[in-house]
Amino acid sequence: MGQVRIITDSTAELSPDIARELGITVIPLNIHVGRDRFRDGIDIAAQELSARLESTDSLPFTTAPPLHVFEDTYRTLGNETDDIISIHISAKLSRTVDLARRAATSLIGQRRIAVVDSLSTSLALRTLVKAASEIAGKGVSLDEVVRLVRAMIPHVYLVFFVESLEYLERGERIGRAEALLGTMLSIKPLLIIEDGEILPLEKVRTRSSGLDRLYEFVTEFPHLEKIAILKGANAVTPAELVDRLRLAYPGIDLDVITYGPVLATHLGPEAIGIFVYEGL
Amino acid sequence: MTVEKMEDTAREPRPMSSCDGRELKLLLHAGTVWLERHASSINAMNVFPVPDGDTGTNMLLTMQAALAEIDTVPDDSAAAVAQATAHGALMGARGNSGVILSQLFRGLASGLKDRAQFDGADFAAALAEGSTTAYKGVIRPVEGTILTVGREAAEAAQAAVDEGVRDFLPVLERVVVGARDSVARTPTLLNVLREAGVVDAGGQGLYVILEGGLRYLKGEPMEMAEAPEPVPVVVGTAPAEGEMEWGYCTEFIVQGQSLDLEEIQERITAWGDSALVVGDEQTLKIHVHTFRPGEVIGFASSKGTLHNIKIDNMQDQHREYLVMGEEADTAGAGEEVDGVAVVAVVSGPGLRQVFTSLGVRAIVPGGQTMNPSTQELLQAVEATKQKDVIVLPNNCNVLLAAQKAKELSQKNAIVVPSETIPQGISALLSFNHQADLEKNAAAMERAMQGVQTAEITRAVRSVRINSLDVEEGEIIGLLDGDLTASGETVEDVALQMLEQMDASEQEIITVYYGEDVTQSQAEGLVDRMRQRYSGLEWELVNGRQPHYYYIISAE
Repeated sequence: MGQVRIITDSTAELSPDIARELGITVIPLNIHVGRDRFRDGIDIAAQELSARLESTDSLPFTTAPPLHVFEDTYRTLGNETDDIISIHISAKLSRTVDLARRAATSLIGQRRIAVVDSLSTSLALRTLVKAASEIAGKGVSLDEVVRLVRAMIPHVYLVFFVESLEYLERGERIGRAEALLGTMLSIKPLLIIEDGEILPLEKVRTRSSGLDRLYEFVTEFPHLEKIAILKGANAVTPAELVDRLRLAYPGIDLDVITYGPVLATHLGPEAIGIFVYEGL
Repeated sequence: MTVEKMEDTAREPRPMSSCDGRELKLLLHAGTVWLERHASSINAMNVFPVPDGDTGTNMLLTMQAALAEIDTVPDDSAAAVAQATAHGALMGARGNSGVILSQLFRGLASGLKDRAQFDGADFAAALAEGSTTAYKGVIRPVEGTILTVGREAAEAAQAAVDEGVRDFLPVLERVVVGARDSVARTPTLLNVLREAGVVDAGGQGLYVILEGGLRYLKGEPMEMAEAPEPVPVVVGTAPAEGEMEWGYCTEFIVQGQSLDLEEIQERITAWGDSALVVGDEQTLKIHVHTFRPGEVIGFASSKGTLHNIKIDNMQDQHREYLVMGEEADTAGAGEEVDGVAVVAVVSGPGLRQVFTSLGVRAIVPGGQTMNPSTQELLQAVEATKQKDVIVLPNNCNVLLAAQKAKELSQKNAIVVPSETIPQGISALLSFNHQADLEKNAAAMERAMQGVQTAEITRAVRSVRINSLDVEEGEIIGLLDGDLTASGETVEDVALQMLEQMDASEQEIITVYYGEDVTQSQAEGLVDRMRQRYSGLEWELVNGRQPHYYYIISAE
């Protein structure tokens, strides 16, 4: 029996180098813009996607990787190990995890494959995947890796400040955030990914109060281990927010990361977000 | 009891040593009649000459609610009559002066507890208790208001008792004199009154009630020398169609071929309030509160077949509620659900829609026209499905009534003290479905501080205030409730207000235009503003609010 192997999808926003280094297999989602289809992170990068979004009126959307990609990946990896954990974007944002489950079911009895819904995506998913990889490297059992990942899920947070509701309106899987669309005022919502869903948190009317609220969201945690700022490819880096957070949390590395195409299709290319992992 | 009846029974004066339940009732009736005669002159004493929150009307409606309540109790006990007065006044209390009046009655009732009748000394003690209760009901008591008049009236009573007067009538005479003198002194205690050249309206209202009672007991004529003043419109008995209080809740489904949603929506909206038209070309669900359900149904039947027609008289529902209120313990609000409900006081169909679209479940009409009563606010709070409720008064003269409704409610209610519509909207935006009551209330109160409000209306009388000479009919501007600008045209005042709000330092300006402004006028104004202040975001909303040409928020 080999070491537990980790599979995730392209929404975890792992660079190919890091994925390779950590031995994590990344399955790409598909992005459709107009008549074109791209494999996330392979055929198209965030920057390029946002340029295309700007120049098209058609609704961009993402689709899960085809079933056979999962089956092939599980079989191939299964040659190296008996134990696989496959951690994916929330089922409420993509069908990816359903397909992973179907593929895993078809291999029952041959391999031990644990499919985990991260109930989130992006840096939250990446944090889970990296933690899984780290503990798997120590040679622990599949059960222990699954237990760690599940324990971490309620402690990762993604909150976004969206300046335009346009992309939420275009997208399909906005869940209860739909309630935002009927308001009579132009509002800029804060959205949180919670229990796998994009939910409205509160609304503001100006960019400065939106960024203030992101800062307050972070400072409400009594303890935290990781913070990062996410921004859309077309968003201006919120320098003041970065400075305030660096000042408030001098001991924590604070990266500013451009979120990937899947979030861009939901939130548009101009949203600003905060990722928090408060630790176990 | 009407004035005529009272004059029929006009009594011979007699040295009245004590007051029983029947006499207390008559005294209160007479005080209310006298207040009614003086209501419009009291309304004219409002410091800011804005067309809303009239003190005379508010106190009159509060007294009328008290009278309705005392008619339900036998008159053999003064204590029972006082108790009913306090309860009726509290539930019917409108505006801050109405609420304070109700608290005076509450203390008075407590002072008269167990007394079938009371003499002058009892009365003096009860008045003192009334004053103490009233002071306690206000977070920051201000001298030179009805509070001062209530206290000094009680002190006058005590002075008489200390001089050895025991009988009721002579003590009441001293009380009336004390109240009158106290009212006259209010401008010396409160600068805004002195500057505006008026006495305190709430204090004057209290004095008039006491004087009316005294005049009746002494057999003095209740007619005034000059012709009676016009009586203010009383909401609830004769609602004007423009500002509907109760009508018919009309609900049905229309089925047809290629129904024109927009046309139907437009027609239905024109018929009433709370209009809702949803569905597709084949099936539309229609809901509207209207005084003319027949016309609505007639129109809809010309468009297709009607189904599930339901028409309820909301006046009946309102009355039923009032009856139910007597047994508050058994009258539950149905099944409770989790989460926090928001109740807001708003007038104007456009503004109501803004609040509804932001998730407010219950709108209490009023604020800028009529201040809602404690009862109306309580009813709205109790009617929500949630156990936790946040109340947005959106008007400083509704704050106290909202606070009383919160205290009376069986629910966990918190009043977020918004004093303007934009404050209410800012508060509402920060509402978070995931957070609990306390957290939401704190976030909303904080968010509300981040917005400035300008309101533009017409002066209902001439006044000199904040070094401004305002002529009746001139356009005036209020910044966060304070009169700070006046001018010839609405546009000029609006531009003055932007300057006062430091518009160039703001990010977004929202202009809510009222029912007296056309869309093209409003657009023209925003164009002018935009030219003067570049780099800001502008938003124009048809608030259709009464009286106020524009409500402008800057944040």
